[in-house]
Amino acid sequence: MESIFVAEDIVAGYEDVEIVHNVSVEVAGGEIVAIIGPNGSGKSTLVKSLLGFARLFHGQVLYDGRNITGITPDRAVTLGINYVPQINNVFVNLTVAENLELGAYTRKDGNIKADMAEVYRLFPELAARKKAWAGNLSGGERQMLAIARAMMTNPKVLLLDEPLASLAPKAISPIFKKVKRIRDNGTAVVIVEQNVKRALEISHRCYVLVDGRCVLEGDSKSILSDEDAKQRFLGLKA
Amino acid sequence: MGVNWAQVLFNSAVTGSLYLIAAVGLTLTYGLSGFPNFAYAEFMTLGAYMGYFVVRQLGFDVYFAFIAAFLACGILGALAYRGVFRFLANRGANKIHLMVGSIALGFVIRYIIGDIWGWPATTFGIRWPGFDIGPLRVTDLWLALIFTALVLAVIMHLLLTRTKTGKAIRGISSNPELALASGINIERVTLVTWAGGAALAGIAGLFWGAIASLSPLLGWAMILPVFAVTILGGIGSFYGVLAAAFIIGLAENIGVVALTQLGLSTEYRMAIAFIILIVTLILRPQGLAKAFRRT
Ligand SMILES: Nc1ncnc2c1ncn2[C@@H]1O[C@H](COP(=O)(O)OP(=O)(O)OP(=O)(O)O)[C@@H](O)[C@H]1O
Ligand SMILES: [Mg+2]
Repeated sequence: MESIFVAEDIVAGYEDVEIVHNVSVEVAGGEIVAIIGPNGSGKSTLVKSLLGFARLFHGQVLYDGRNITGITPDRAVTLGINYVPQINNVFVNLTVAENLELGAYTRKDGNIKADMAEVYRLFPELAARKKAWAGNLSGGERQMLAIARAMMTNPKVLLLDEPLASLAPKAISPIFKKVKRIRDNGTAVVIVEQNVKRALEISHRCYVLVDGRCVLEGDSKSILSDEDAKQRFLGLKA
Repeated sequence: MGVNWAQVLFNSAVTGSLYLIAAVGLTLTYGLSGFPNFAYAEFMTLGAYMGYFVVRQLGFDVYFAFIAAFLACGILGALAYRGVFRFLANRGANKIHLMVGSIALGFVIRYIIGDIWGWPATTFGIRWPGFDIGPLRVTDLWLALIFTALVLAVIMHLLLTRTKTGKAIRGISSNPELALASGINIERVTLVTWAGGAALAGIAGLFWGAIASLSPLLGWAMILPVFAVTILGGIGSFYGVLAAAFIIGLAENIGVVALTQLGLSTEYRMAIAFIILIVTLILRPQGLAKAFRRT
C-alpha cells in the first residue's frame, strides 16, 4: 500500500541534546503502526519531533507525497495530521463539549455539529458527559476525550502517545476497540506503547526503539511468532 | 459612633468594580503569556491621562474620554506585546526576563507621561455631586463604575463560554501545548487578549482618575491591590478575579471602618490588600480558581 506518512533518518532531541538517532518510520494509509520501547528510549521525542514539538536535527518528513519537514504543530493539524500527547492531553478546565470544539478550532467550514455527532457516535461514553469538566473524568474517559478531540479534524494520520498508560485493565480494551474503528474509518494510526504484547496485537507493523535507535522493525504478526526476536529485543518469554 | 453598613457595602462594590475592571486583563494575559506584566500599572495611568487630555485639554465630554482611553490603551497593549514581549520571547527571553522587561517598560511609559503632562497631581475638573438613595450617599460616577463592571462581567462570561476565541483563551492558559496541538492560533488570541486587557486597564485608570486625582504614579499606586486580586483569584481565572475583586473591595472598606474606629490613619488601607496577598501566597497560592473550575 502507498505510504501516507514517512519519516526518514530522523535525528531528534531537545535544545542541543540528540536523543533519537537515525530512525525511519513508514505508515501506510489505513494501517496501525506501533512504536515500542522501554522508558526513556525516545518514543515520545521521535513522535514530537515530526510535528515540531521537539527539535528535529536531521531527516525528512513526508506526508501524502509532500515534504513537510520542519512543519509547525498548528500547520500539521490543518494538513490532516493530529497528535495526542502522552500527558496533559485534555483541557482539564473545559467541558467535554468545549474540548471537542477546540479540537475543531482550525475548521473553517463551521459545520462542526455533524462531526461532533460523529465523534459522539464513536464515543457514546462522552456523549453522556458533554457538560462534565474534563478534569472530572475517569482515566479511561479522559483518554477517550483526548482521542476524540484529535478526531474532530478528521485527520488522515493520528499519532497517539501511550493512550493506554496508567489505565485500569478494564479501561484498556474499550480504547483498543476505538483505535481499531478509527483505523477502519480510514485514518492511519501511529501508536506509542510500552506494553509489547498489546502493541503487537493491535498493530500491523512495529518499530522497536532502544536508547534512541531502532533495533527491530517489521510485521507485528511475524515478530509475535519469532521467539528469538521476542526474547532478544522485547524480553518476552514464550 | 454608628457605622452605616449599607454605605460600607456600597463602597465595597465601588472598590470591587474598579479592581475587577483593572484585573481582568492582567489575569488573562498572565495566564496566556505566563508572566506578570508590571507595565499594567502604566496602562492604567495612560487611561487616566487620556481622560485628562480629552476633558481638560480638548474640552470634550467625558464620554469621549472613555473611548479615547479604551482605544489608546488597547493599541498600547498590542504594541507592548508585539513590539516588546513577543520580540524578547522570540529572542529567548524567559518568564523572569519578561517580568523585568515589563518593569522597565512601565518606567519608560511612566516617565514619558510625566514629561508630557507633568508630575504634580491634577484632576479632570469635573464635579460629581453626591445624592442620597435611601441610606446611601452616591455619585453618578460611582454608579457608572458599578454598572460598567456588571456589564463587563456579563460580557466576559459570554465571551469565555460562548465564543471560539474565549474558549481558546481558556484552553491556552490551561494547556498551551495541547492548544498548539489543536492548531489554535495562539499568537492571534494572545494579541487580542493583550489589546483588550490593556483597554480595560485604561478604563479602570480613567475611573480612578475621575474619582480621586491623577498623577504619573496613579497606576503604580493601584497595581498592588490589582495584583492581590489577580493572585487571590488564581492566575488566569476570570471567575476567580470576579470573586477576589469584591472580596478585597469588602476587606478594604471594612478595614477602613476598623482603622477609623481604632483612631488610626486610613492610609493603612493599602496594607490590607498587601496582607491578603501575603496570606493567599502562604495558604492558597493557587488562589480561588479551583473553587470555580472555570477560567
Ligand atoms: N523536554 C525535554 N527536554 C530535555 N530532555 C527531555 C525532554 N523530554 C524528554 N527528555 C529526555 O529524552 C529522553 C527520551 O524521552 P522520551 O520521553 O522521548 O522517552 P519515551 O520513550 O517516550 O519514554 P516513556 O515511555 O517514559 O514515555 C529521556 O532521557 C528524557 O529524559
Ligand atoms: Mg513517552
